[in-house]
Amino acid sequence: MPRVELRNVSKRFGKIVAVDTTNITIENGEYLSIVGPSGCGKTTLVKLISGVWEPTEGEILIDGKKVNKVPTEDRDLGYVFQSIALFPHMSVWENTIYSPYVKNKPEDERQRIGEDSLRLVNLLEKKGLFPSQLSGGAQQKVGLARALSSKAKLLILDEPLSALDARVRIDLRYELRRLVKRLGLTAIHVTHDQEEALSVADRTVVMRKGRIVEKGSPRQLYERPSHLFTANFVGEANFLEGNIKTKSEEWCSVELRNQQFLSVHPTNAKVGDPVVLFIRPENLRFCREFKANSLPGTVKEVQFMGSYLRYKVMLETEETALVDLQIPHERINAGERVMVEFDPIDTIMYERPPEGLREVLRLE
Amino acid sequence: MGLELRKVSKKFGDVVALSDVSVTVGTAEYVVILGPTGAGKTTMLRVIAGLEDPDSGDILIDGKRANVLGPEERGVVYLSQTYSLFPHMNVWKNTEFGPDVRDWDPKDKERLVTEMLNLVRLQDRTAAYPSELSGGMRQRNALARALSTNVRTLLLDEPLRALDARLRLNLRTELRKMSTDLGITSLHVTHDQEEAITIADKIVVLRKGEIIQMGSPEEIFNNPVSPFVMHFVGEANFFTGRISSKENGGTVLKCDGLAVHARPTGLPTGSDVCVGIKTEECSIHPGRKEGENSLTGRLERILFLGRLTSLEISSEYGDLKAKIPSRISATLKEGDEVTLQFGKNQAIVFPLPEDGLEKELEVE
Amino acid sequence: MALGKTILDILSKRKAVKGWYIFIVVFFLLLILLPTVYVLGYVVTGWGDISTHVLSDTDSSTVEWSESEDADFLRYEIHASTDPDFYPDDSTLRIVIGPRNGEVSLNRARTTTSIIVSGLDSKEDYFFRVRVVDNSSLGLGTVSNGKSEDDGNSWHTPPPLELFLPQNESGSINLSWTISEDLDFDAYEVYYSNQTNGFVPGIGTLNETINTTYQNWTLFENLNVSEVHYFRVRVIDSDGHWSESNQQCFDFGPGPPVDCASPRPVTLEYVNSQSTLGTIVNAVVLSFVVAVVATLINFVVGLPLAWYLVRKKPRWKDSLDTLIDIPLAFPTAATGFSAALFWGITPDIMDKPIGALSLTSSPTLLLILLMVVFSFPFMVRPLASILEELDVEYETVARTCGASRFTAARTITLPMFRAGLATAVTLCLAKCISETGGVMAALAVISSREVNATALIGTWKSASVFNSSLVAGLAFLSFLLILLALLLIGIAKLIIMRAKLPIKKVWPVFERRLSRGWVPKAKDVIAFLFLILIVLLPAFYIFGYAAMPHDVELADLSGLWNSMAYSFLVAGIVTVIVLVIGVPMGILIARSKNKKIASVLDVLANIPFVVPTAALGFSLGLFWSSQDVIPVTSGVAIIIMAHIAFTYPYVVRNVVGALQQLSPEYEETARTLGAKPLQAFRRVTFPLIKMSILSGAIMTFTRSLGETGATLAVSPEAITAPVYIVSLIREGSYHIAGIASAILIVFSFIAILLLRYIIKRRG
Repeated sequence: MPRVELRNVSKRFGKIVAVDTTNITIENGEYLSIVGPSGCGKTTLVKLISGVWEPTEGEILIDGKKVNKVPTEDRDLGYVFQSIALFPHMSVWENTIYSPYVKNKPEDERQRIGEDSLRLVNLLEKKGLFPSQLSGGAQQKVGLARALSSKAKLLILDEPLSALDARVRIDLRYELRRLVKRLGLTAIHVTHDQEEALSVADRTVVMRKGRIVEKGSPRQLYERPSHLFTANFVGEANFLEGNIKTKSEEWCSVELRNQQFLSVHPTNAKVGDPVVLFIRPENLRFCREFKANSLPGTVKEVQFMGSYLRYKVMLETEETALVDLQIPHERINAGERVMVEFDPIDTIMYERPPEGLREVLRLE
Repeated sequence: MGLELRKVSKKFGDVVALSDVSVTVGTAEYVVILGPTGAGKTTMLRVIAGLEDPDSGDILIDGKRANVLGPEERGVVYLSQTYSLFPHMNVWKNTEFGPDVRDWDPKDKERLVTEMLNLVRLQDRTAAYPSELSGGMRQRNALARALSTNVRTLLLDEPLRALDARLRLNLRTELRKMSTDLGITSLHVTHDQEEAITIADKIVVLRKGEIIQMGSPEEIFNNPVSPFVMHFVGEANFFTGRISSKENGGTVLKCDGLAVHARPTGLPTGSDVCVGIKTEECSIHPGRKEGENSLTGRLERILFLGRLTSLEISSEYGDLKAKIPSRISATLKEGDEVTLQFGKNQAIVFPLPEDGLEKELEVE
Repeated sequence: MALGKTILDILSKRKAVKGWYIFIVVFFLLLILLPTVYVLGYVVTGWGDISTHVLSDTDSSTVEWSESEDADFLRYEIHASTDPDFYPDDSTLRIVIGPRNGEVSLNRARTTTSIIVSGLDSKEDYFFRVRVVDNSSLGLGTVSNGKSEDDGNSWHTPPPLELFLPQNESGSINLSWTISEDLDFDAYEVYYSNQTNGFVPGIGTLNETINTTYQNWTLFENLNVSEVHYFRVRVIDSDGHWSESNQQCFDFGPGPPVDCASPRPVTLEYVNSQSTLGTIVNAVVLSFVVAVVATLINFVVGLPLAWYLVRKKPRWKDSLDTLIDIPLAFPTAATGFSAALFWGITPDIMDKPIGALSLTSSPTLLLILLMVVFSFPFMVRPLASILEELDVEYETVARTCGASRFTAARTITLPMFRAGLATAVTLCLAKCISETGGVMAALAVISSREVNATALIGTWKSASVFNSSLVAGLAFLSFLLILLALLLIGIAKLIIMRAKLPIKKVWPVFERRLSRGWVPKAKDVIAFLFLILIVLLPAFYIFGYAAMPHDVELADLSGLWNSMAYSFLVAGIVTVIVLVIGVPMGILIARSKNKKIASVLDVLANIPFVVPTAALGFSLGLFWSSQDVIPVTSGVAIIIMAHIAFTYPYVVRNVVGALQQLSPEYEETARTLGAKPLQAFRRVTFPLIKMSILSGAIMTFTRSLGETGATLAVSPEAITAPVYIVSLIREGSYHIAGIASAILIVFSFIAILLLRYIIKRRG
């Protein structure tokens, strides 16, 4: 029963710190996703867990046993790769039974494992083909079958969908989650795609520059992120900068640029503190006339997004707000004056970071 | 005038890459070619750029037949997926390449290059080599290089593919805006339906070398001409059945005992058809609910995507999917009995595809 | 630069480009490929000669004798007869080395002290004598001792005697000669004639028989003072076999003595006889056995080393790369000499510096050790580069599936780099079969008379000047060598590509043990020890030898300077020409839209790779001498053409390889950005493949500089530096050879560094 624990793990390549004193525990049966921009150390982290690399410092424990020195092949895990990396000189079948084959399992067991794995990904009828004859999505399914054939309870998915078409990715991520849950595996899924990270996992870890920024359930990270970087990274976000003007038990009034005000629920921040307000575009509303907790602005652009429209509004505060409204609704045209209503429940206040908002939000 | 393809065909051996493709791109128009891998998208750009010769058909650039012109004489710039920044040149030298090979006056060159690098915000990194740049910077450098040739037509081959998912969201709008501001005619290839919908003036859906549909994002999204387009541009639920009657402003179908009320269609009563409903246009209600186009089932899986939540429901009419705003899905639990509903106008009727529905819906 | 720009502008025109490409292809097909394989055609047209001289039941005897020291030397005559008591005359004359009467003297005649006499009836026993003739003795000269075909004991005559100048002692003439050293001595026979200069000793002229060894003189009294008197002495052994002295004469006249002394006799030292075909077969077998064994050894050791280089990426990888490449930079004649000194039991060389192992006098073993040195980089380089290309990810995948390192390497990596392995084995085999200079040097050092195929070509080619019937043998040998080399390489490739390399069974526990702990470490250590002890130490040993105190004067090295100037000139010209014609060919192959033509050209361009250079040289010489469309008679020109032929693939391969790895998108992007084809090449493609072209150029230069086989096979008159070193060693001038080798190595290195510097700056 795999339970993976990282204690103060660091990994340095020369002077570059890829993973910096990281602590995390992945519970048995949990589907964990790790998300972050390129170079944040997420792949290094799973390579440490899988034993491809050895940590510079710290301990990695699987089921309570320290495995720092245990080589990959003895860690009992399945691994799905970004590059898919099906062995080009082997057929789908040979790829799938590679694990039982190198473990010298008896023929009938190999047969059984191989068939089980391929059936799980619905590719049993393609077992005679070679990787180059398969589409990208099918290749990755074979990659998954190959990993499942190790019969390990820990599955590592290292950007498994990045090499695939956007549309294929959507179908396959459902399938991944379905399989992991059905087989009761513990899964660690690394991705740079925030939507993928949220959709597959029980719990998501956001990483940046070798460190964990935040971890929590997908909904929690999306709706109530405790860090500005997370707020921006996991979805579209609006940010407004200001200072706390007044503060009471229940309300806290924030003065934005150009004498605009919004009321939000208070935090620890004190009166006069610089703060940043955050709200998701789909939580904003338009109203015709002035209402409490609304800001005037002008619609600059309307973008068709499929099932909703995205309005780009230049607020009086000289900040741009994105407002997503589900179709159908009463359409507003570019150039119109509007009031944008901020629901205090959905508006979250953060202290303004000393290095500046822009720096905190940087994606690369 | 812009760009025009007239009945262009291209084969590689036995593989048809383009078959009788005719497209018109107006000046300063932003056209997105959307399709799965292997649809012939890249070939289309390469044929326009002069990097491949078409087997038949004409390419017109600004009204003039360009088939016989070399790539350097066509006045279009091709931007490959990897950007192909020259690795032995720094940002400045790369950007200067176009003016350089045209032997422009050094003063003009310098002015132009400076202007372009300012435009893409790389003025501080002129001495950096491509390997020292982040993905986004590389893309911007490639853009600056393309624009400094003063060429007004850009062929962009998956310009965002190499970037992180979150970054893509920001850069796609930026790309679009720059193109519009400078009055550039753009042909942008992608497999990402969301990207296409968000930035295009016109979308061309390509599949197996053939144009399936051409039109504005709204047209493509709201009035798909085939189940494939509907399914590819956002997921959809499909039922197969037969037209049982036509009523005032609608069609009634019998699908395995289920009566579906759908949009009007020109197909005669009694034809075998299929009907599709976008998952984003389905609504979900807790418990059992009767009424037109209502399907009750068990909520099998909840996948949190961010703004939306994807639901999988098993009903007696098969597995269904719905995507609903996350604020509504918060109260739902896996295992609940729910009812999926959709409006009559959301259900679009198509003739039953010859090769069967499953084949039609394949996304790779 | 301005000139370059103009040329480039002219070349930018589409027609010019096309014309240029056509020229390049035609040049390659007609002047490189055709000459290279010309011998194959010759074998068909010259089949008659071959069946007479090679395939019929004939012997070819190698005859060796001591060099004549006569100042007035004119020629050697090789006589053979089935009659042991024959006296050399026109009917027994087989080969003349040097001018016949009235011809101009050849420089090389005197130093040619070994020749192959071919076309002997294999059912008969032959007896040989060598006559040495000088200018003044007018024809008859001096006959050497005799030997039969079966080198040595069955039939031989006493060593010849030297007759000293007769002295006049108070009216009588004192005739004296060297004391016979023959253990089987029976008698001296003194012959006298007062009539014929150059008389043939016979019963009529026998004057006296002396039975005492120590009585090496006799007195003639009462001779007619108005006549000239001629003398010869024979030595007879107990079997009645005779050897003769030179002729001396005496006249009592007042003027200066008449010069009618014939040259001192030369000693016939060695006669070996074998069927011509047998000689060819033996040599070819030696070549191939050595090549196969050396390739296997290099594979076993080269693979771990390549693996170490690529996978472990040690910090000193660059230095290690350079070390591995050293055998490429050292001229092989020098390395061969060095390694033979190190490994071989060297009878004639007493003063070797410490460290020499002196292990073996077996030519086969020595050649294997030698080839291991020469071909080591040819194995390691391609293996390393293909490993570099293979994604490590595959091995990681295998390991996450539970495969130990060893299992992963065996089942995943090895089968995937078959192609690279095939290249490595091809190059390695081709190099081993081709090598000539090192072999000749090494075999001379251990005084072995065995030869491999390429050395045989070298030897026969020089002998063919005097024995034109050898051309048939050479043609057949070259033909056989080319054919078998292609066959062997083809078979090796087939085995590598088809063999079920990963043995299906897996032994997890055992293989796991191989993957951990001391085994992998031992593997690395052994690979390194091998590199240092077996490859580098023998190669560098020459410096120790050269540094020993020798009594070599600077003047002794004048031959070296001349030959080095010659070599560097040839190598320089060859490099320039190969770059000019090879780079466009590479581009054509890699970028041609017509894939079929491209792949055919690719295969054709690689043919000179696998044709042993000596055979190639011979073929080329044959081609140029048998056509008169292009009047090329100068030896240098043909040598340059030969060197172009075998270095050509290096540049082409490098360019093709670099271009295939380089995404065409760079060039395409440049084109759509407005660059004309040539601009795109010059500004984008060229800078990106510059380093590959550079390494091709360096390879060309070093290969040309170090080549012996092709040079010898084209023209034995051309004394390039390695040929010079080989000839020094064969002469026994080891000290000079040692110093010359060291100097040549140093200069090659400087030249390579210079070339690297120049091309880097220009590019």
